[in-house]
Amino acid sequence: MKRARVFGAVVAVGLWAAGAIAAEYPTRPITLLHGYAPGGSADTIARLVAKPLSERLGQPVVVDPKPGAGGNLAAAAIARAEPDGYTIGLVTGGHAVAKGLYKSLAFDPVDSFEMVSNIVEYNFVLAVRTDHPAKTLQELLTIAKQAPGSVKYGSAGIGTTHHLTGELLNKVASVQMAHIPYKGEAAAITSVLNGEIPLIIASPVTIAPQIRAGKLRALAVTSDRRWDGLPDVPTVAEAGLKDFNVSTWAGIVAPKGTPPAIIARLNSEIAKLVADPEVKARIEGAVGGEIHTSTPAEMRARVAAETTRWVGVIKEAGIAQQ
Amino acid sequence: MDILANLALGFDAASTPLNLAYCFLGVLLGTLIGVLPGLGPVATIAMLLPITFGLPPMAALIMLAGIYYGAQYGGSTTAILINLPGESSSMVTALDGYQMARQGRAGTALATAALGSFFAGTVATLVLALFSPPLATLALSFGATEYFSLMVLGLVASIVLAHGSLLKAIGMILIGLLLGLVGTDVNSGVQRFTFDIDNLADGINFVIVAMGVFALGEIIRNLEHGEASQTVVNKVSSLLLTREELKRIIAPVLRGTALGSVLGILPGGGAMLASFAAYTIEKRISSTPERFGKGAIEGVASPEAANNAGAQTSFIPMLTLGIPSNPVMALMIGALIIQGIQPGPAVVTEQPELFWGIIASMWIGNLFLVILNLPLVGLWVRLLSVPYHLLYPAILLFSVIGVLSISNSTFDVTMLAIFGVIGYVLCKLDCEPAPLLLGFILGPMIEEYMSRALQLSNGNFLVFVEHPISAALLALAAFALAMVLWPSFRKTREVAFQEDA
Repeated sequence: MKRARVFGAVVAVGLWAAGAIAAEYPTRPITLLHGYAPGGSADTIARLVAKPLSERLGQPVVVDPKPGAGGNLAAAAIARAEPDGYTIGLVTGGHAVAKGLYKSLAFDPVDSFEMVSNIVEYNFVLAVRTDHPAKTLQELLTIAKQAPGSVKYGSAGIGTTHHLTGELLNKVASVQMAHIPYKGEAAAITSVLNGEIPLIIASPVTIAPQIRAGKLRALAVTSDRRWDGLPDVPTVAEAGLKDFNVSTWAGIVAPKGTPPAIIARLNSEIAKLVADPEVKARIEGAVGGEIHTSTPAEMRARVAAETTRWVGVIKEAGIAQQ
Repeated sequence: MDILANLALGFDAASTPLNLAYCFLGVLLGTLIGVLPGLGPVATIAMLLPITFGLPPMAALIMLAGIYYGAQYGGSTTAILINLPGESSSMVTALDGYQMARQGRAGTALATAALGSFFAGTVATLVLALFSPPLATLALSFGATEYFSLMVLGLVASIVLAHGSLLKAIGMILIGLLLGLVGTDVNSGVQRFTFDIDNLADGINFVIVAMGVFALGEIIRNLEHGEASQTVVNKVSSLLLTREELKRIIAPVLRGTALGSVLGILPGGGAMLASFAAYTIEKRISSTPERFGKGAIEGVASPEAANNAGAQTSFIPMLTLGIPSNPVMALMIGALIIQGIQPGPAVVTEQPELFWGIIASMWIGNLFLVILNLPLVGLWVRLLSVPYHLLYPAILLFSVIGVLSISNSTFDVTMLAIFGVIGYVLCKLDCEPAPLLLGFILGPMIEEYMSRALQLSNGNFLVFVEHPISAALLALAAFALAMVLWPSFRKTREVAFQEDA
């Protein structure tokens, strides 16, 4: 009894302390690190989140882009930072890919972080030029089977989620479409527009205008749900490849060891701020996706599952580790 | 007459007080960041992007566009005054512009740059209005093979940039090529010369190399002489152009404008090539090529016209196709998307007011820039009379801030210092940095496009001569190379260049 009472008191004090930290937090500006180019979609999401977040927390949230090495520089910096809630980070789908691409990483994509909340999810779109003979994904895969090497696909670069989605498609559909890497999506879209490559795997927001203008034809979207922006385009699964489901994401993380009370506070503020219709519409518009928040545990499970999947795809496709 | 009606619509839309105000704000900001070394339009626009969310789409775009072409103006100011090209396009301006400044003709050089840019801006506005759709097709006719051949031509032509020893120029180009290889190879994903340093995984930033070898090297070298050397720059002659100088720059400005308008359209490095292609041509056709690199006014006029025309026509692929031709255009597309406008082929027809308004605002912006810059010429020139012991630390400070702002990395600042020392050593060895920088820019592009062309052709090297545009460019490159290597030609060339060396 006595012991239980002491235990209860300890828990109570602990909870009170945690509550106090959470109540005081934050007392100074918070840095929101990310590893992507200023002005890119990840940077835009970070800035769209930072503004209302700082209003809600009553302290400035400063977006600090640290681009380099595919986001690894920033991820390492977040992992190294003091776990006091004053350094948080935005990571995207590429975060889970890093473990497969690099021989040595200064961080573990899952274990070095506390997950705060997922923010947004988006599809990739498979598209060909309008004059391409394939009208559906099935027809394209038939062509790829009949004439191996004739169907080449472009992506935003080696080891990007776009590229790995293509490799996963190759595996699931048992075809061998050759990958042509570009420096970013814009270059790849130009190349498919002028007929250099027949197929592209790209983010919805960059490719939708070309599809709506009738220059490109979307064959499928890669997640298990259709995208509101192109409601007539079937999913890969609908087109015949059962269980194919790839979507990429962006979410907020903090260094390992950040107090749970702070994580909980940030999680609830983020959930509230993206519920604001204006913020929601802006973020969704910036990436062509859907707001999708999560609990820290859900996000951890998601990132862990993604890491396992992409490490497998990278190994099977024989992509060299750096 | 459609064009007139469209332009009228555009000017109508662009000349509302709000849009005029944002246009002015944009070019003012652009001039400022152009003058501050290293702080480029990409970083500035990225930082200002959230502010534009609350603006009407047209005002937002007009301001962002103003920052971009305003920075081209400002960038040449530092290139001329202190040999500090903030952007790849103003590197060429530094070659003769800085020499003019050293001869006390800084005012003339600045006025030439401003007038040349204004003329080019006016013509480029008309080009945008008249020929956007057909020119967009040109952008699409350039694939990997064509780009490869264009870059080869550029590399061959870059030898002409040197005005000293040919051997040293080729050596510099090769060092530049090697520096350009640092980082992750686009086609294989392999990291080269990174020595397991994550900061090198994306290669070395152009701004760091340019600032280091040009400006820092120059500063270190001047320190050898102490304060005495500054008197050279202190002699300030008239700020405006004489009638004779005006006559001399007309043809170069016209040629630069034409070249810039065409090359600016090509996504992926076209605009960057414009200024140096213009310089190369001026030097080639000049009856006195030995003056180039020593303060030739044509060497300022033509590339300045070219880079401003190129900056404006690089909007064509963005506005008509929805394809960004450089990182700034990618940011503008981002701004449009957030405003709820889908950039792409449909913008011209669905948002005619926006499309023509932006075009019209560019001419207005250029007018603002001339009004803003010409009176400022006197002020800038007076900056040169600041004693070196005050001016140098200030330049260094701004350079470090600029470099730090690229990716918030102190590693980059260390690299800047290293390239400063390299620049000094090159100076002492009489090796010119310009060919090095061109090798640095063009090398990785040549490699990227070549291996992509070969991947697309399944390894068939004949693609480079089978594509007509590519074959023509390669033939030009071969011709240019033959000109350099041809013994009798080389002899005259050496005579011409060594006279003053």
